[in-house]
Amino acid sequence: MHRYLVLGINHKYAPLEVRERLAYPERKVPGALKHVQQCLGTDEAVLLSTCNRVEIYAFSEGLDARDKLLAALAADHGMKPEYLEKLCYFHRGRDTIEHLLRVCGGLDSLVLGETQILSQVKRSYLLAQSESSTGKQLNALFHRAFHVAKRLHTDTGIGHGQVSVSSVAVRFVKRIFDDLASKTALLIGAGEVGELTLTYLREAGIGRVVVVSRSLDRAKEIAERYKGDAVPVNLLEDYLPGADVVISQTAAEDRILSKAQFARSQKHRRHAPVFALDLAVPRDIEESAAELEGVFLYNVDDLEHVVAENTGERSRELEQCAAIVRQEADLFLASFQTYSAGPLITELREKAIAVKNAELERVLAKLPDLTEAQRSELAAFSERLVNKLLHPQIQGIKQEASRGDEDSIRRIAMALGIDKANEATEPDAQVQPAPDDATTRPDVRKN
Amino acid sequence: MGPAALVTLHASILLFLIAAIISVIALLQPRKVRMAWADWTGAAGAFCLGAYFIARFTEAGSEPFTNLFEVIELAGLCLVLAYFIATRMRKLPALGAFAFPAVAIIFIVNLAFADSAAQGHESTPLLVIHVLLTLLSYGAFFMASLAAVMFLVLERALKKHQDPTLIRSFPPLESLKRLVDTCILVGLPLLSLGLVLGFIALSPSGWESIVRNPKIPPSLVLWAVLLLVAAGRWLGFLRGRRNFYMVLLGFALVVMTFVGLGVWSRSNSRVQTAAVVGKVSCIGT
Repeated sequence: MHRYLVLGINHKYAPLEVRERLAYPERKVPGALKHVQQCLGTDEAVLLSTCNRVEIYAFSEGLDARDKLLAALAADHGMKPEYLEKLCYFHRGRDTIEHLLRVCGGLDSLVLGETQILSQVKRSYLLAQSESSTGKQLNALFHRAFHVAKRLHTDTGIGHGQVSVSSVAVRFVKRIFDDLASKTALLIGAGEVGELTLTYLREAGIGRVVVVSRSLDRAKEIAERYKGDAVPVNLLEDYLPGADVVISQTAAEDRILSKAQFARSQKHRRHAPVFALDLAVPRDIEESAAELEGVFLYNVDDLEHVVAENTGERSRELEQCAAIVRQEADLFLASFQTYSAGPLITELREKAIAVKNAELERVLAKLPDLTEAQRSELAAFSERLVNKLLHPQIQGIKQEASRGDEDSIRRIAMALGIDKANEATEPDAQVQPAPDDATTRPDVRKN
Repeated sequence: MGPAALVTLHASILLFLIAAIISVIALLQPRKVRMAWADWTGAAGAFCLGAYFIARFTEAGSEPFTNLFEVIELAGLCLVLAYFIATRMRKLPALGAFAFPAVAIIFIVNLAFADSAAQGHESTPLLVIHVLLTLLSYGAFFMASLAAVMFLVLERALKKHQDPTLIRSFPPLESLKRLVDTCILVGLPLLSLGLVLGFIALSPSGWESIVRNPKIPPSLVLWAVLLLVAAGRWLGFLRGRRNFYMVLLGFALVVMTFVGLGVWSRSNSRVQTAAVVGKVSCIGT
């Protein structure tokens, strides 16, 4: 059980400047997964990279997994592991399970109870699956996490009265402009939140929509949905002065709009106000553009802090959510441990069936005059006998396994003379948690 | 001052004070208190103030601008009317939270400092038009100043990515900017015309009386500042926050002129007679 582990960095402990440096563009995820697998010597790893967090989930043995993961993360981004060590958290075993359940349920998000993270985790999981980077263990954990996320949102009020980043962005737009019908929104890139913001702007009555994307086909597709115009990315600067609201969410690794570009645009606009929303991580718009007169530049953190202030009633649901997470983690652990007794049960059944088959063969050889119907009846009788004799034993093994009593399982296996029991329980037995093994959080984050 | 005028005057001041308190609470607690309540209270205050002027007119038998106190009261009425006109023309929530406290403060300061003794002076239709035009322009500049303050507060909050309750009911930046522009566009011609009429009214008594009138220099400076703001805005050499700071400077000059003159006239009756009334006073400016 201690082999489930996660190393990550999130909005609570690292500023946007650090998070954007550690973010993985989707095209780099397969390579990063292979790197993690090589470093840990495991087949199972999932990499979650969103604007608020970068987390690596793995199923691996070894006490030095944390250092290996840190080294892999640092190497991927050309950073020193010692620097990351101060900012990253590491969980092992049950803490990893509870952490993932909390993440999927939006309990670890800045916007408490948000649901967008669930789709992001699902996407990351499917990507890892398509790269054959998940196995039985992570599959079981992630499926449980998706189930728990749904339960948290249906059984509690954690998602009630939620304010999204997009709706807050539109609220700020309305604080600047009084007549949206005469305004133009420029969407750069094709991000989910960017499109959602555009939807809200359309509902608020924005006059014109222009979509810019590296792929003109993709731009046309989005523009068609919002009854707007599609423009190739090389014309971005030409369209900037006409835009009153700029929403940018590209996967570009460098800034795509500089302060100088905004300065030129503002000169054309005679310094009329422009609301620039940078939803990308790494950011698309140079931060210093906010210094220009009339430019109101907001990034993900700026909006999420406003959203987080509006948690209201939802924070009262946290206690109930925490109880559900604990309960579901217990259930998962129990099912996982029962599952770990699987090889023992299989071996036991195989041995019993082998004995039954040998004895049946011997009896049938002594009774050659039996009819076919009688032979079948005898075979069925022996089958039922084996099942009935094994049933209480299998139930007992499952019960012991669900308690996580590995010694007990091992004793049963030894008593039954079954080797595979060791295979089922040995890895967990090997990984003894170090004193700070379960959860490692640097002190720096408490400051 | 007769009992009717006295009652209506004090009732109006009290109502403006209540409107100011309601409007500030409405700004901070918009869910509990509505700005409309302040508007209704302010409207009642304006009604009482109107009744006061009618009572004074009835008492005096002529236009009731017999002293600085009454001129400031009339200016206050113009400010309130400017507020109601602006808010009826455009949706400008939260403006009342700035307008009513400002009016209440003006009235209280006026009550405390301005001289209310009746001064005998020769009134001419030209002088009355001069006073009305000038006070109406002050009303417009008052609105421009309120909008400028709100613009500066809102712009700073938006730049700093803040979302305090205070700004949630503010009108959008664009509305505030447009309000400032409109008020200056309306106020500047009114003030220019008022000043010209004032000079014409003063001219029979010679340039000496113009030079000796303490309200003339600040009035001219105010006019120059507002002309600079208007020109700067339309020609593009004065923009953004600087533009709004200049508007505030202009209105501060108006307030300083009146407050300074009120204090001065109380403490120096000789100067008061010469400056405020004289033989042909320039009350509005």
